[in-house]
Amino acid sequence: MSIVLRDTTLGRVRPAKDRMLPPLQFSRRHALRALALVGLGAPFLRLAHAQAAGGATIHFYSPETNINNFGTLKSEFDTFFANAGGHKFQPYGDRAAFEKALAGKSGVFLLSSWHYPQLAAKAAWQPVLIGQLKDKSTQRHVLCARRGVANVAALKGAKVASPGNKAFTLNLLADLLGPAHRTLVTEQNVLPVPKDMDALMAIGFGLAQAAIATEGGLEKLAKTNAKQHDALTQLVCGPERLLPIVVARSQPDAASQALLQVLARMGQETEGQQRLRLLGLDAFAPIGEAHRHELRK
Amino acid sequence: MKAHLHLNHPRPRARRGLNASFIWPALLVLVATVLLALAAAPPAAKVLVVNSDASVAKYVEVQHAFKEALGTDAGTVTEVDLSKVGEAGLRRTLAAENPTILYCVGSPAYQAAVKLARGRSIILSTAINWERFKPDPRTTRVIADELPALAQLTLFRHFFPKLQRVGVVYNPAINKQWFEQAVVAGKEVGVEVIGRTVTRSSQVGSALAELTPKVDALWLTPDPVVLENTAAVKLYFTRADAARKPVFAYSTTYLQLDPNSPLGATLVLAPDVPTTGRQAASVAQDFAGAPPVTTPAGSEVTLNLKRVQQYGLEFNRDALDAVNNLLR
Repeated sequence: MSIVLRDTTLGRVRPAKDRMLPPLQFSRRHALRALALVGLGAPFLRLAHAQAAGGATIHFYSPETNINNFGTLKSEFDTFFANAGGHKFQPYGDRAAFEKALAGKSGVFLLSSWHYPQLAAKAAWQPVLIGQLKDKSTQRHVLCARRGVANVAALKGAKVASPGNKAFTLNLLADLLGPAHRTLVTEQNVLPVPKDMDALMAIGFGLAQAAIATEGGLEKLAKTNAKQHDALTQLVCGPERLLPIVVARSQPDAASQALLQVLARMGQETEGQQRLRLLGLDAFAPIGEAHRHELRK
Repeated sequence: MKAHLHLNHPRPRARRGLNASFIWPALLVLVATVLLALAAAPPAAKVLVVNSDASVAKYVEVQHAFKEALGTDAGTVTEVDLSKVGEAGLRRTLAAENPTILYCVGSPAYQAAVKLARGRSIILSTAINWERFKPDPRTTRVIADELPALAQLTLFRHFFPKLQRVGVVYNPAINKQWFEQAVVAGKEVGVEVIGRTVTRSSQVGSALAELTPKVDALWLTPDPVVLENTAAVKLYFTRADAARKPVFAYSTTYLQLDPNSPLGATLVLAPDVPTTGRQAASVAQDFAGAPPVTTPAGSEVTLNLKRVQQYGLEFNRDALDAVNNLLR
């Protein structure tokens, strides 16, 4: 067999025998080198392939926040991905459009752990990563009211400010209030606001009688405005809930695999972490079996 | 063919009689239920949305959020674009639709509504310095277009935890009460609010010269005297920039003074537009029970990271999840 090499210096093709090397010795040594190169370079090749293919897309939708920061998220993540595989970030304000994208066969999806169990197509999408915040992969929601409100029964017909959309808020309220009081707050009484801080301050401004927020949001208010915080009473503290998750196909394509690797490393670098903070996270970690089990419930 | 014949075959009399004996009482019960429900439920308000100019994205967004929040009641909503139909078109729509409530998006819509629909219930939102219209609290409900001083100061502190003093130039004839409230609010969050009064825009320069060295940031509010001419507004930014201090503003129009200028605000806090629309919908659902003026419940945050870095400011990275727009 005649092995043909390209002389890069001269730009011409010459047969291997012209290089005065015994054919067997050359073949073994170079074959080993080639193998080593392929082994070590596979991730880079895959990345290069992903880049050549335009990378994968991470689709994002969250019913847990009403902040319209889609433009910023897209531009910030796309800029970050430009040097990390050329992937794309696609945020959605509409659940139906997001779920329509899920019907496709490629990309990865970042969504609420509350949303995932409701997906009709969830069997095809496996949780791979879970959001981290201050080394935790869970958070708790609290129901607060003005100090002096003795219990949840006093909230009948009350306006409840929430950083989540109405469906998420009503579901959360049903959990927080329990079976005896779950009908106290109706859809009409929910006031969706952009973020925790808005919801909590709405009570002080007399715009709502109660508010839903994360424990982290309540802590932020305590740090920034202790007086407003002290004017609130925590009526109910819900159970630990998983932070948002990243799901992918059981056998993701090369571009999606490369994107998952980039996401898993984002929290380890300043630039990546800054982007994740826009989502209220500081890292992604591989999801454990216990959390997978919880999501299957 | 057989099936067709079978379907047209007359049913036995006895069976028809049996059905009728069930249908009539059931129909009576149904009609009675519908009548009772109609009597019990208050008639849905017929709303006319008057948009000052539907080419303005903010106005369209607030209108959309309003309709979405009304949900099933949205069938009773009619919309007009004042910039297209003019006052004559609005007059015609009023006559044709006879709405119970007018929701005015922006100042021009409100001014036209007050003129053409005197005495009707009006909701006003998305209007800067709405107080100048002196809305009648008997007929008008306002969703204010400025975040309360306390909300702004809380967010200033949230983003810049080391902030201690913030300076503001204002006209006491219009904003004395607002300033006094801001001072109290500042104490609540540990920020000293220092003010300098002006009665003419020509005084803004000297007020800023005196104020800027004493504060960590300047706070640009929609004070009509300060905003009277662009030169006075520009002074806010030139003085602050010379001292490498940030300007906190109320509108994203101040993020960059003009395309050729490097000057602009570092942090902008404005009412969240969709939340304003939802609040207006809530007022439409209970107009009589709503207060004359409602504070915006949501905030929209724009942070200019480029300027933060340029001035070497320390900011709270944990606050990034509250940012709508991040500029680099």
